[in-house]
Amino acid sequence: MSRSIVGVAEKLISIFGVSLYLIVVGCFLVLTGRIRVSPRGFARRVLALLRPPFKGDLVELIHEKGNCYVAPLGRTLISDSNGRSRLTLFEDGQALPYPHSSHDDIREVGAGRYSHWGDAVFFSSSDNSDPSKNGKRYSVREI
Amino acid sequence: MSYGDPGFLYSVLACPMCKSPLTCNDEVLICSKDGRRFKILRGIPRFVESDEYVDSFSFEWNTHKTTQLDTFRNDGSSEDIFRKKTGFKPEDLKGKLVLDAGIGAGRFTDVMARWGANVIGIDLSYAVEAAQENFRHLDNVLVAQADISDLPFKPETFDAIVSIGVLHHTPDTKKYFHRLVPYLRHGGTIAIWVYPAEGDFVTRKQWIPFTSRIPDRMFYEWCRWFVPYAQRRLDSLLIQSIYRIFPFSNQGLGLENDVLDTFDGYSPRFHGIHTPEEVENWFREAGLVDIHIPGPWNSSMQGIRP
Repeated sequence: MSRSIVGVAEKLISIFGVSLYLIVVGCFLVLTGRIRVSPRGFARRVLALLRPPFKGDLVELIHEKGNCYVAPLGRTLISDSNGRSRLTLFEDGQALPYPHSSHDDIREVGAGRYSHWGDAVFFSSSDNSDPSKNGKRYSVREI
Repeated sequence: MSYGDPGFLYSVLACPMCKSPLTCNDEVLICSKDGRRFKILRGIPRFVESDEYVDSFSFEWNTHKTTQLDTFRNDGSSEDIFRKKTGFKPEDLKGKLVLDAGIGAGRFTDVMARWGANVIGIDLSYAVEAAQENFRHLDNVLVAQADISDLPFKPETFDAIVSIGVLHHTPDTKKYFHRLVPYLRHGGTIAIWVYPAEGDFVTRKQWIPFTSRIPDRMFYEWCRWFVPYAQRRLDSLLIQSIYRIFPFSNQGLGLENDVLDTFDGYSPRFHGIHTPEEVENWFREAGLVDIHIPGPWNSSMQGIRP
């Protein structure tokens, strides 16, 4: 019993102690410019939470490599290249299963993998068919 | 003694100082020239006295003995990474004598052993205990505790040398890379991957002087709490902001892997970062030919000793 109490206490000390230490070190690294953070990027992320979610159809579909196709969004949103994208890709209204995929996996494996990167969506269709010819509708929505 | 003979891998070992053959006498290897003695403890030849500056690896690999090994994960994730970082295919290594410089728990030795290579895995840390446990049943794997700067082999011993994610944890990445090359046979191939000087690796380098001082067990407990906490809240603005300052692992290979990888990213004493051009220059200076990046990882490099 006392041993388990000691174990829990040690765990809590580790969590709080290390968290506190890392917060102090993190502030030091940011304030001294050793780690650069962009106040504009932070402001953009805050604003992204306040504005209505983006939605639209992917119209211009360009073959990139393997199973991967690229579609420009025509809108600058927070993507996986500068944060974590909130975009979900739909194929005929059905959400595709693998967001935030690596581009290599999209090219090589496909099967509905996709990534919102910069101002474009890199994606593959669910059956690796050519999305510009398979007659299916591709749309995105911020969730 | 040739490849495949019992005891062949032991016969490859030599005195790290004078390169003379070693004779085995009751759990001790003895240098035939000057009588220097090297213990064999728990089946592992020991060519160093301690784990020196890599104690965090001793801790992490004995805590996560099997987390990244395909054989235990029942997937091919490490094999996929191995192919992409080294460019090797099974037919390149089958039946060959390969040095895994920095075996850890044996993530990539596991792949090479399955491909039919004869692998000697060395590590400065006590990760060798975990590796030995994982491979003690295999005749084509030998694990030894040794330092890359004083390897216990004769020059021109190996058909291939691989070192993935290891050299940047030494005090001098370039110098330790150059220490490996002489052990490669003429016509043999060396493949390495080191941390690239980009993205999260650059950010982590700033943390290392501070995080490497945290006692391993404390930092590990913290990673066990923080990583799952953060992963459940990836859509939160706070966690996204923390990620940009303190990138934590989210590789899609399971929580255990991400806890391990986050600890691994911040706990080592040395954390070198290197550009592809820099790595290519080391290969040129070492007189290697057919130098190329074998896959999508920029700071991986492969070359042949002419």
